[in-house]
Amino acid sequence: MRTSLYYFTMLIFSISLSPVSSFGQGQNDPLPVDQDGNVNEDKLNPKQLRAFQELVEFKVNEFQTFLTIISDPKQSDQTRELAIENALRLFMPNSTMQVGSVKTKTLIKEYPLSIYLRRLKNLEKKYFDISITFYDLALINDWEKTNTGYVTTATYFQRFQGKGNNGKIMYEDKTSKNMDVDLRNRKDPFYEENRWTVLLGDIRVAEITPKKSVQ
Amino acid sequence: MRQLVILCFFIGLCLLPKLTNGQETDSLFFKNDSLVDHSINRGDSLLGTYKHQRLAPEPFMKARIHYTNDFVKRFNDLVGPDNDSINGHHDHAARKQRIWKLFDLEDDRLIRNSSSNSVYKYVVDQFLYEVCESFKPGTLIAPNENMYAEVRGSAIWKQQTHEYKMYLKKERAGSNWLWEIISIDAPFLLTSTGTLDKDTTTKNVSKFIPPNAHEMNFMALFKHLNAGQSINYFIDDSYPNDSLLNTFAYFHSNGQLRPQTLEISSLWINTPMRWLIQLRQFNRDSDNSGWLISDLCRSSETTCLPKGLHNKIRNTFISNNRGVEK
Repeated sequence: MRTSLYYFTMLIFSISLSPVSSFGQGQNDPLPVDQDGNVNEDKLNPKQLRAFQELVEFKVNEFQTFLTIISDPKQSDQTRELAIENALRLFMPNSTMQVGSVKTKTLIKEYPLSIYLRRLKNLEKKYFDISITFYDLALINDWEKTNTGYVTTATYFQRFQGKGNNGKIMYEDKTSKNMDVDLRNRKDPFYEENRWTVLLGDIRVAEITPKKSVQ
Repeated sequence: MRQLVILCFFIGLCLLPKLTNGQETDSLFFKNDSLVDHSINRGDSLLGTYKHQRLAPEPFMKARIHYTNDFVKRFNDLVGPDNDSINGHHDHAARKQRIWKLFDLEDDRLIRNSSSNSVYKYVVDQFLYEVCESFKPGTLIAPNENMYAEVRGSAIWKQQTHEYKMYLKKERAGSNWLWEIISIDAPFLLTSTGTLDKDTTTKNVSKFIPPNAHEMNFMALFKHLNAGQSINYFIDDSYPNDSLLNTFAYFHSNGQLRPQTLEISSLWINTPMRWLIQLRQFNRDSDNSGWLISDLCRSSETTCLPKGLHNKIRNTFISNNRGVEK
C-alpha cells in the first residue's frame, strides 16, 4: 500500500510539476506569482525571457535568410515569392522598413515591409547581380516590460552589393539596422489559443556607410 | 499496480505539452525547420541550392555601445568594453579609464592638447573624480530611471514647414515602462495659444510610446503622429498643463498641423551623484561609438539642458523634493 501510494504521489508530482520544470523553471527561477500565489499571466521569469532572446536571434537569422533569397535573381520566382510570404509572417502587421542609400548624401526612405520586399525582389531590374551579406553578429537588447507584454531591440549589420552586367560593383554599402521586437501573449493562429509569441516590427537604419561611390 | 502506475506516468508525460498551455512557447520555436535550417551556428549554411554566407564581425561592431542598457551596464562597471563581466577587485584607475571611454572622444573639447573650451575638460575631470573616487563601485545609475529625451521634428503649419522640439520622459507605470511627452518647444505656435477646445481623448492602455522607442529613433511616435492620432494618449499627466503642448495637440488633431519628420536628438540621465549626463548616438566605425556621453553638467546648474526641458525638470525636482537645489 505504501509503495502504491509512493508511485501515485510520484505520478501526480510528475504531471503537475514537470511542465514547469521542463522549461527550466528551477529553484533559481520561480514562476512569476502575485502576493496570493497566483501565476501572473502577463509576466515571464528571467529564464523564459532569455529563451525568448534566443528565439529573437533565430528569427533575425531567418529574416536575413529570406532577404538573401528574395534579392537573389538566381532563385526561382516561386522560391522568392515563398520567401516574401514567410518573411512577412515573422512581422507584426503594418511593420515598416527604412532603407538608406548614399550617393551625394545619405537618403533614408521608409516603406511598408511588404512593399520593401517587393522592391527588393525587383532590384534585379536595376542591377545584374545583387548580393546581401550579413555579419555574423545579431545583438539583442534586454526585454522591457510594457502594458502589452515585452519589447526589445535587435541589431544586425549587412553589406549590400549591386553589380552591373560586366561584373563591376555599381553600388556597395554597409548598413546597421535596428529592429523592434514585440513579445506578448497573443492568440496563435496555428494552435488557436493564447501563447507567448515573438514578432518582429519596424526596422530602422541606424548607420549607413558607403563602400564605393556609385557610377 | 506498479505497471499501471508506470503506464500512467508515460501518459502523463505525453500530456505535458497540453498542460503547458502556451506559457512560453512559440509556434515557430518548436518547429524543426526553424531550429535546424536556420541554425545560429556560425559559418556557412546551405539551404537547397542557396548558399548563406556570413562575414566575421568587425571589431567596432562588438565594442559599440548599441543600447542605453549597455551604457548603464558599462557605467555601473558590470561589463567592460567587450561586454564581458567585470569580476574581482575593482581597480579605480582602470575604472576611470573605462568611464572615460564612455565619452565621445572625438569631441573637440576633449581632444588632448586642444586649448578650446577647457571648462568642459575640467568638468569632465571633476565628474570622473567624483564617480570613480568618491563612490564605491556598484549600481550608480539604474536602467530607465530619470531618463529624458529630446526629439526634433518638422511639421507643416499654414502652408509652411516649421521645426519643433519635443521632450519626453521615461516613466514607470507599475512594473511597466513607457515614454511620455512632457513638453514641447514650438515657437511658431506661440501666437496661437488662445482659448482652444480641450481635447477630450481618454487614455488607452494599449496606446503608448514603447520604452525602447529611443533605440528606434521614436519611429513608433512618428507613426502615431502621422496617422493623425491624438498626442494626448502620450502626454504625461503628472506635469502641469503646457499651453504650447495643448495647442500642438489641438491643431494636430484637427488636421491643421501635419508632422513631416521626427528624429531623436539626445538623451539625458539625471544620476544620483547629482550630475546630468547627455547621451548621443555616434554610429561610426570605431570602438568609441554608439551611445556616448556628449555633454554633462551638475544637476544644480542644468546648463547642459535645453531651455524647454530645463524648466520642466527643475520644477519637477523641486515639487518632488528630489531637488536640484542644494
